[in-house]
Amino acid sequence: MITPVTPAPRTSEFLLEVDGLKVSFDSPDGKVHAVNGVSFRLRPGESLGVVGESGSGKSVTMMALVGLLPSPPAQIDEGTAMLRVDGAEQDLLAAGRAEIRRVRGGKIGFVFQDPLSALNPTMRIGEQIAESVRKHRGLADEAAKEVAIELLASVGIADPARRYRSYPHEFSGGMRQRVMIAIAMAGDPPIVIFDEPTTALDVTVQAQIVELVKTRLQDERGTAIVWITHDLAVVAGIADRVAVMYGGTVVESGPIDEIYENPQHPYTRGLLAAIPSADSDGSTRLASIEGSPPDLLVEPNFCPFQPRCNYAFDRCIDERPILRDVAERHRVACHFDLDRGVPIT
Amino acid sequence: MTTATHDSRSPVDPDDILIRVDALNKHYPMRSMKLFGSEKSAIKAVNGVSFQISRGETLGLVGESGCGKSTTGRVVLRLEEPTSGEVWFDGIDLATLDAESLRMIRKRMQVVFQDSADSLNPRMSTGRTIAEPLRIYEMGTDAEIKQKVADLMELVGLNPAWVRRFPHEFSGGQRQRINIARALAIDPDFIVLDEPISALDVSIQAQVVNLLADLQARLGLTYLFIAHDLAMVRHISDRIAVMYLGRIVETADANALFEEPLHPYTQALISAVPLADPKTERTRIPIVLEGEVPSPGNLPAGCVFHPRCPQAVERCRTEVPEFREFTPGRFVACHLVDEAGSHVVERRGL
Amino acid sequence: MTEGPQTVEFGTRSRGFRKFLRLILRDPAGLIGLLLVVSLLLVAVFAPQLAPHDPLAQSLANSKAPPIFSAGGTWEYPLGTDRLGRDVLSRIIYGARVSVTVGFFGAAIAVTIGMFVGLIAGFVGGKLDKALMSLVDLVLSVPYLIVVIVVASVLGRSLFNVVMLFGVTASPLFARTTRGEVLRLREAGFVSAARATGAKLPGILVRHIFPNLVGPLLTLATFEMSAMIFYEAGLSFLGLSVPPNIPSWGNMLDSGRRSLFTGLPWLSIFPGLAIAMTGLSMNLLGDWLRDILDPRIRRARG
Repeated sequence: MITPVTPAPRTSEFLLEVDGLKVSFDSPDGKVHAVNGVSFRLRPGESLGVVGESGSGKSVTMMALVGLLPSPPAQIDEGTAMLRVDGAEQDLLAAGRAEIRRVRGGKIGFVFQDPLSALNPTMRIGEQIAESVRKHRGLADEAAKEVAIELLASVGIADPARRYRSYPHEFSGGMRQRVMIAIAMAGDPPIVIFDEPTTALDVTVQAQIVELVKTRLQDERGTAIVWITHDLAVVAGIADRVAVMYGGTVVESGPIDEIYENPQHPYTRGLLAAIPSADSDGSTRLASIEGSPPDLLVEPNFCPFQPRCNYAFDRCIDERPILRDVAERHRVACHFDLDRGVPIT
Repeated sequence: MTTATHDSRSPVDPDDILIRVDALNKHYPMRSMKLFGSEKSAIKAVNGVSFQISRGETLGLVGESGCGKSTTGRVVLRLEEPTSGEVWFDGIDLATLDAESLRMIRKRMQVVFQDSADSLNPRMSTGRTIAEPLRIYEMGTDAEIKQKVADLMELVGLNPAWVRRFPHEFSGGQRQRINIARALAIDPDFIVLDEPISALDVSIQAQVVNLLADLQARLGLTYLFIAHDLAMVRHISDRIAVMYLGRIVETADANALFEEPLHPYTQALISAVPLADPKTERTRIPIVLEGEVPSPGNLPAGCVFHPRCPQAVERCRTEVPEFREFTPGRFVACHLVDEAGSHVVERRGL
Repeated sequence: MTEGPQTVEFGTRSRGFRKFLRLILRDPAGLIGLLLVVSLLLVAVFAPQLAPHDPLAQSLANSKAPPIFSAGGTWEYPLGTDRLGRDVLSRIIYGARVSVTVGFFGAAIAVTIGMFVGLIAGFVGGKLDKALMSLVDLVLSVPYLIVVIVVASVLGRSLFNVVMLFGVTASPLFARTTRGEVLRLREAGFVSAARATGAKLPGILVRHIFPNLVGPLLTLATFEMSAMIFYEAGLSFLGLSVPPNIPSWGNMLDSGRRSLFTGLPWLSIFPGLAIAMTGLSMNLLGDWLRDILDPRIRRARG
């Protein structure tokens, strides 16, 4: 269980406050410890980048919040997730099915990596947006249709009135992702979670989608954004704060400039060094992190990164590091002080 | 256009050229059903592609999905027959070879695909997978093959004790190492790397890229590196060819391409690449291309890029730009690049 | 596991067997299915040794004997006797031979024909593929009951006819599955890689295509076997399968039917149970096979 070291600021400051979330899956090979005590907070209008590789637990964490994990095999073992919207406070992890369904779309929008599987192939895309508008804004059919057409226009679909009647297969991947964003915006939620929304898209289309999210959601509506990705470059342009996840825990979090300029966790450092820089021409080797991703079948009572870490020492095997403050709002879970090159005492 | 390879100004000694591709076309017949009868047309997946790769060199082939880069790789390897055009390997025109000679040439050309899981037979152990090419060419006795497999596994950074494990017991990065070991088994000269790292985690990508670079230095390999991740392509490639809608629009030395992209598509592509640096990201303004990539079954007239090109002029709509060499080693297919090899766009409309 | 002129042994049998044990012990339903199917096979093979009586021996003195748990039942005839005094248990044991023959040989014929057709259609493609698939559709569209009646009336009632008929009518399913798998596999990266290496077609078939066809076809065959056993029982019941002098579960059902409400219900209940248990066990086994033979499912962890 990870508890923040900093005294919690006045609770009302946070839109979403996740504390000590643990999620596991039953599998034929045993219990998979997917999320092992994740805590993070989101302020209104803030954009948080959640960076991690496959198996880091970044998607599972977010799916757990909006009740999208299939149970069984998934189970939420511990934790709270307080959502505070319009003065009302609710624990998402304790919420019932009906309550969490109202949260989805109404208070938290979700955009997935693969829009084709998230859209109903037999339904006109306009109607899929209108359905969400009806549900969350309580509008009648005609009014909902008008709002849906406006939404299509605002996500940059040309000729929205005609495109309202199109089916998902008639759209390209980038346009489908625009539709997904329109659906997420339909309920005008204060938070939208993006789960690798541009991973399957080409780089020029990715640039279009990022631009769209920045202008329509961040600038115009002040929506708080959680952007899940494995790509440190994409998140650099969109996030105010970054949480780096590894082996089901947050290993480092902080303001974006801090994380990129002064990373304090060996994993974050390794990740940043593994990306070819702007002028990398192959004369230098990439710094790679040796070894393989962690085995989630073992419950980590140790530092999950320890087997791949160049700085690991006895304590990393004996004791799991908890997040500690290294600078203003910058926290890291590591027994080693990278700047001074000595273990933490 | 075949000017690319016949150009006398080319600084490369012809003996050093391992792969030469000339005016390569790969068209897939397409029958669109009309109310009365059907209409025949073709999807022009690869449309007049020419390039060459010197021994020991890495040519990066970049472009977005559907641009024909993977098809180009498959045609070069003769996994698919070209519609027209030539592929020369070490001075031999592959089209002139009979099946048996082609098989012997294939010993020298190998491939590593993107999807490491799909590239491995789920019912074959690591050892049998890596040994397969050796067995096909009957290279060595049982004991020799066993030893060679162990050596190969060591070479690509796999524990030789894992020889009996099956693909699903490995992580993505390890599976890609198995694929690389299999490609290396029969000591090839040339390897087509078809998005070999795209499906891997960032920390693992660096491992595989370093491995590929080490192997190239050690074994003198020649690579055709097909990818869409421009930063990684720049890192690994000596030269880069940019594809759009079945055509190569620009070929240049890797650094020159990034420092001064000449083709408007290359410019847009490079400007769209995000950098892992929040400070530059805040000021970066990508050139946002309007619209969608047209269907390769219905190509625009003139320059294929003109409907989306922010700089297109009247000439671009009617006339296909020639793929010309402007400075040694630098080819561009664009009407807006002048003889000196610099961009004339700023002067447009003045 | 062996092929080609040279064999490099990289996977060992003992490892495979231990894995098999681990996989079957993890799934009780699959284990039950497997045990029942194996027992059925043993019963069919060792019927003469297992059966306490001659299944055809009539003994009017002992006719209509009740089963052991009813009043007046004896261990001599644990499941009772029919109206002609034939031992029901022995007839069920011998009847297993008919069911097993139909199931296994029918499925074997269907797999052989279907795989052959599917491989050709999938690999050659083009016009031949279209022609073969049309033929397959044609076979599928013929109502098999009518064919059975015609065959039975023209060629006579025989087990051979039934097996052949089931084999042919079920083969389209296997042809379609094979073709689908071949179309998928020939585009798979490992087949492309093998081709790029210079592997010849026979080698690709043996090393890459066949091993990956085993899973889906074996699973399908298990389900088809149970279906064929059901159908055979149905045909026997209608008098369209084996002649009445051969004991089969369907024949027994048919003759027991008349006595169902006249004090001799066991004459239909026991063969009925045998049919139901056989179908259940094969379906359990098939479900388990489908799960473990699909490497994608086995791989899915974490």
